[in-house]
Amino acid sequence: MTPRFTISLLLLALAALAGAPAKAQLPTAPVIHVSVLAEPQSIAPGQQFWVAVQFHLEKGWHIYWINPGDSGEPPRVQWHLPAGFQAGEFQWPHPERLVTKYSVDYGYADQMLLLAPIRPPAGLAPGARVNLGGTVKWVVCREVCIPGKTEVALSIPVKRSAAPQSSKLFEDARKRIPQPAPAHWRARARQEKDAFVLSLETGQPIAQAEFFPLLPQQVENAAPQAAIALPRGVRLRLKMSEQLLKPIANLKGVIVLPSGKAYLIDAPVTGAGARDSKIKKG
Amino acid sequence: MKRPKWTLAVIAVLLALPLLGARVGEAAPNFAGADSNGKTHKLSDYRGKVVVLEWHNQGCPYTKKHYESGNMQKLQKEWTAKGVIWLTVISSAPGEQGYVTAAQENEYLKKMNSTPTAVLLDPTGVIGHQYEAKTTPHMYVINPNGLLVYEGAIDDKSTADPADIAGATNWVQAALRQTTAGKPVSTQVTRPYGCSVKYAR
Repeated sequence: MTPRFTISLLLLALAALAGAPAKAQLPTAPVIHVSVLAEPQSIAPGQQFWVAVQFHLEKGWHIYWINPGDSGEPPRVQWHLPAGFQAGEFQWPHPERLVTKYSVDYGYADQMLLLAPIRPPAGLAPGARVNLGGTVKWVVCREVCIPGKTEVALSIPVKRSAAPQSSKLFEDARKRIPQPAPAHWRARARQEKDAFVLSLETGQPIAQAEFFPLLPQQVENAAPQAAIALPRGVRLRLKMSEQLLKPIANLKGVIVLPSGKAYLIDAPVTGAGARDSKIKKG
Repeated sequence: MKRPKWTLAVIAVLLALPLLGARVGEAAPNFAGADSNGKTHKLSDYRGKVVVLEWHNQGCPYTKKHYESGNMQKLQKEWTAKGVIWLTVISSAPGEQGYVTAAQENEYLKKMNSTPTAVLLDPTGVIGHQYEAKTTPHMYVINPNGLLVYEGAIDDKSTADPADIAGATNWVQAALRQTTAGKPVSTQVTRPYGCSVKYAR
C-alpha cells in the first residue's frame, strides 16, 4: 500500500467518522449490568427474607420508575421460584427527574436496587440449597434507547434458623424507598385552571420538595415545580397535564424532601371541575 | 407584485400562531413541511380528509417494534387505501438518532415496504413543537373538519416488545374507524409511549 493511498484511506475513515451521527450511535459495550442478590447469607423455612434486582448503569444511561414520565418504561421482573416460594411486591426507590430540553422522565442513573420480600415455604428442608431465578426486561436510554432482557439467578443455602438479615447495600437502598406519610401530616391539592396546588403540612417549614406523580397523564412532567415554604410545610404548584381529561379525586405520588427522605402522599383534590374547554364533540 | 408578499406574510403569521400545542377537540395546528421528495404539504391542503400524523425515528426500539413487525405499514396501507392522508413526521435534528436525508428516508421506505402518503422532514422540530410531540411513535388523528380527535400512543401495550402487538388494542385503528364513520372517537387521549423525540439540543 502506498503512503498516499494509506493517507487517503485514513481520510476516508475520518470523513466517515465525522459524518456519522456520533450522539446517535449505539454503544458496542454493555451499558447495563443486571444481577439478583439476597440480603441474608442463608434462609430458613417460613422466614421472609429480602432480595434485590440490581441494575448497574454506565455513565449517562438511565432506566425508569414505575411512572416513567414522558418516555421509556419501567423494568419488569418475572420470578422463577421453587414451589411454595412467594414473592411480595417490589419496593420502588424514589426516582429522580431526568431533564432534557423538552421532556422530563422519572428514573434512575448509576445504580438501582429493586427490593422484594420472598417467603419460603414452612416445610422447606434445611441442608439443601435453593435456586431463585427471574427474567428481567428493561429499556435503558441515553440519547438513544436499547431494550434488553436477561435471566438472573442466585443459589442460597437453607438452614434451620435464619441468618441475620441486614446488609449495608440493602439498608442504603431502603433509605430511597418512599415511606407512608406520618399520620399527622396533611396533604391537599387545590385544582386551579391549569395547575394543582399541592400543600403538605408536616409541622415544619420546608424550603424545597419534588413531587413524582404515581400515575401518568395527571401532571405535566416537564413543567418546573415551583415550591413555596409554608410556616408548617411546603406548597408546590404542579402544572396540570394536557392529557388530563377527567377530574381526579386524589393526587397520589411520592414527595422527596430536602433531607432526601421520600414519602407516599395521597392528596384529596378540591376546587374546579376538570378543564372543560378541552373536549368538544368532534 | 404586492399581493404575493402580503399573502406570504399572512401565511407566516397563521403558521406562527398555533404554538400552544395541539388539543383534542380543537383545531389541529396548521403547518407546512417538505417531504422526502421535496414536495410541500400543508395540513390545510387536506381539509375534507382524515389525516394521521405519526412521529417517527427509525432507530428507536419502539418504532422498530411497529415497523419490523409490519404493524405500522399494515395500518398505513389499510387506511391510505380508504382515502386517509398519512403523514409520517421525522423531527430528529442533524446528528441525533433518526435524522435522515431525503434519499436515506426513501431508501428506508422501500426497504420497510412502508407507504405513508408522505414523510415530512422536520429537522428543526417546528412541526414537532407545534404538536408537542413527545415520543416516537406519537400518533395524532385529525378529522375532515380539521379538528384533532385523537392524540397519544399507537396502542395500549407500552413496551418495546413486538410480542405485545398481538394482544394490544390499537387506539389509532379505533379512532380511524370511528372518525371515518362520522362517529365521535371514544378514546381521545392516551399517554404516548416510546423514545423521546430527538429534537435539537
